[in-house]
Amino acid sequence: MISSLVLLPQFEKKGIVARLDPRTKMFCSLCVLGMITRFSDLKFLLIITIGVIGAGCLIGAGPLLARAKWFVLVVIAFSTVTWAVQIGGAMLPHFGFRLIPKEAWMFSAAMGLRFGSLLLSGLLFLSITTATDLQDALTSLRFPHAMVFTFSLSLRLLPAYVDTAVGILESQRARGLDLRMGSLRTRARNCLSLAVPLFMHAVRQTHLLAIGLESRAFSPVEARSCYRTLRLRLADYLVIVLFFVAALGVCWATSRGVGVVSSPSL
Amino acid sequence: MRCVFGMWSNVRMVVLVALSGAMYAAAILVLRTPPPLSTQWIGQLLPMPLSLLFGPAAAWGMALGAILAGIALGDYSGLISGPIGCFIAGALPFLLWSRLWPVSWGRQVRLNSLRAWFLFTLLAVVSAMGGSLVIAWLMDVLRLVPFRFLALLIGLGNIVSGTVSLALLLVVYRRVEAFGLVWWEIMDEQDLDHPRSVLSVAGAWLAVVVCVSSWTFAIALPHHARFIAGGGVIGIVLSLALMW
Repeated sequence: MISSLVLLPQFEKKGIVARLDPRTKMFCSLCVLGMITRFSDLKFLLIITIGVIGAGCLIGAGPLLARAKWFVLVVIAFSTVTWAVQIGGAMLPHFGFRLIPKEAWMFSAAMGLRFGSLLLSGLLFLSITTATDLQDALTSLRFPHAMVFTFSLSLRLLPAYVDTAVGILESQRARGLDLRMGSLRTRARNCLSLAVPLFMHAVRQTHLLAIGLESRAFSPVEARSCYRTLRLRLADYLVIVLFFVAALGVCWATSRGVGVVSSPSL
Repeated sequence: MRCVFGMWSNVRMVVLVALSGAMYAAAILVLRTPPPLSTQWIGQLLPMPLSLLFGPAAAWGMALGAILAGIALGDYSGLISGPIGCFIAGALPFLLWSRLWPVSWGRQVRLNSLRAWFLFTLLAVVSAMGGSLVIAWLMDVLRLVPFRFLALLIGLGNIVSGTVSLALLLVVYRRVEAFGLVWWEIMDEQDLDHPRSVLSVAGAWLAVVVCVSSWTFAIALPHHARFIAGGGVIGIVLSLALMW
């Protein structure tokens, strides 16, 4: 499951949404994030979740969302049960040892759905944004160069380390390693047999990389120029205004109590 | 704390941030369960050794790793609380290691005495509690996961992993030192802080007291958990400011 999701599933830039400026996509994602966290009513969160899934299907991210469905469902179910137990536990002094009431279940389901819709909208963002897009957006938003460089370097190192980690895990399993068996001490020792090779591999790579950068007189503090400069177009401005107005509307509505339910334990 | 910001002018430290971030994210991603059940046993073996080896680069690296893992999984919730909590979990060990007078004695990590083992275990507990307190509080404020559940899950898991990671540090410390990649050897002298000033020592002990007490009381008193944990987060920020 995770290997299928890891590392920015990069779609070909065919659709109009995929061709939007990465800063626009980031802004829209933040607006959606804000809207999701403002609502706590099950009905409203259900509408948002359906909207996110619909938008995903429209822009061609359906296969990705379909692949992630079990992952998201487990998250929703687990979050719901966790909240129900938490609220049920808090309500016991008032309700004795009766079962968790319906209101608590409704609130818990809303919280679970909130978590699930956050995941879905995150996946949607990934399906229309590449690693280079993210890097360019951060640069044009005037983030410090050293931080953007570190971010992009990590994004490029990550697949290599994931591959190395998976390789080490599989080779240790082939030698008979089982992380789910044995006492706590045995499991801890087994974990070390994965962590130590990964660690030393990474340190060796870093040492060479640092020597390479220093020999090319790389400086993290010097000002740099960019090959590719991002420009917002009319479509970007329209989308930004649309999402900004929607986010403001949601803030206004939730401040008046629309779509907001307080926790039954409070 | 000065070194946390001063390190960005050093090429090797910048590369170490990327290394720490990518390695932490890779370890999280390879053996990770879905977000509410964020048990990252392998991943949590790394913060303590990385922090004591790479110092401020590890603190930024932990935050970066949490962001990368969140991005790779599309987990927005992890992007909100994860980086801040992981930054705290990565910053506390190296900051406290040289500041907890009279238990500590300097920046160098020598795990050849009972006192050093005690200090390491104490730091594993404090950083696990501090990190989980921040993550669980933020997730609870956003109403994504209840505080008590997440604080217990992350806190206890990180305490166990952090303590076990002593073995990892014992194995790799000498080798990394041989590469010349230990943080205070890489950084310029003017960017290093003064761990033995009165304020630094006071801030370090304040961090220990705040992390342990607020985590314990917030779990023991679920009705006031959000309030206590919020106070704990403010206490951690204050202690970091004192350690400047």
